[in-house]
Amino acid sequence: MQLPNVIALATPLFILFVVLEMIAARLWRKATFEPWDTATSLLMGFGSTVAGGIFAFVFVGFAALLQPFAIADLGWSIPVFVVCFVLDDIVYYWWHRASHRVRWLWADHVQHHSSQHYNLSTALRQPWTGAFTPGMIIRAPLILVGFPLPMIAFVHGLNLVYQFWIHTEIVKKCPRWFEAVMNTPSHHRVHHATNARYLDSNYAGVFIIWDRMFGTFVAEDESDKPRYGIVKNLGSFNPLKVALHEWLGIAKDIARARGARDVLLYLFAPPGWTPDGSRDTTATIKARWQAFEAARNLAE
Amino acid sequence: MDLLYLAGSLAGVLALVGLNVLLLGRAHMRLSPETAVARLKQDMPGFAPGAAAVSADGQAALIENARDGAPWLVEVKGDGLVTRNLKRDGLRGTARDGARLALALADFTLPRVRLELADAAAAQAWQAKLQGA
Repeated sequence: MQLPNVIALATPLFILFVVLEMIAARLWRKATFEPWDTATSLLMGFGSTVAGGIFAFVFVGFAALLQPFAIADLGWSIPVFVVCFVLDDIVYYWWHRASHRVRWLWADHVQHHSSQHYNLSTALRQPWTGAFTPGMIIRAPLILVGFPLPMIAFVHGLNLVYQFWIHTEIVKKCPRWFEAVMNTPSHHRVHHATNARYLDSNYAGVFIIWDRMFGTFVAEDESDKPRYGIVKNLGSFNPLKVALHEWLGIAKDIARARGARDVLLYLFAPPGWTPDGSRDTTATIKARWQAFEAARNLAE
Repeated sequence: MDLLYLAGSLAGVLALVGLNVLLLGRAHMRLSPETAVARLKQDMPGFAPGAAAVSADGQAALIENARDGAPWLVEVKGDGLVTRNLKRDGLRGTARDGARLALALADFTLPRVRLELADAAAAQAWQAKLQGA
């Protein structure tokens, strides 16, 4: 069955909504844009499309390699589509969680988080280097269970298209039932925030229920407005530097590693891990913040 | 994916960035010591500001953390700020020319920073502080 490329189909709408959000920012100051930041985000999106075209063979090859080992052929029907969509979203949750906790995956995903702004152009700030991570292994179960490959690609495209609209500060809160079940701008602002209380939370793609189930949900606190970006923000808007900075950091660390154990941990431990603990991980940042808050509360 | 598609996409990027400038203008942020300290307190809970110097162009500042003596850099990037702990984040070297101070960092995205401090004595004092860090 031939299915459309939903991301390509949605691209004109992405552009239209970025323009509308800029107009809203001009009229009501409810969003912020900075030209260099916008240019970087859009060029990252452009580069991601190019990289996706160049390295598509990696993903296609991986899927083709696995497909003969599928335990069933689930075929094409509406219920199978629905189940595939939901399972793809669970897989997305775990891929996304791993992308924040495993430095090799973070080297790719950090590119999406590198903006200090949170607007619809940030949604288009997509990484270039996914083909060089083991992230596709996390998606393998969908292939092995027997969903058709075009169906997996299609529902994954839908998942990503859904995530476009949640990259905005204009929408404050959605109806309560919607906030309870679905990923929303409020939940995803928390995910993009660098405030210590918000780190490593809200990994959902479409359904926020996975975060609630697996203990990673954090609600947006109106008294602690999200600050966006990464804990060590980048000193450049150059898309090449955005795409490569963490890869270079890993390469430098591995070159200086004292043994195989350190090499493995530089790749698979959380970002910021070092043998001597001289850098911050999200765990140390949270611990420092909690200690500071506790001391402040005692003083009050 | 053909060349026309790629050229069209790049034209679209340019048009959107142009629209951004047209509708919302460009960022003209200038640092004050208060802004820099506020940001450092956010990035590093418990940061206690010590000696501080802001570059004459308002684009960078050096601030000492009185708790541990570590010098921090705050630099304007667009309408945002970038901070670095110069004790920990790999200061490669410094060079001074009168009141001008140039920092070389082992940082792929922020390799060089230039500041023009109040006078040569201030630049010299900060250079000594950074070299001792």
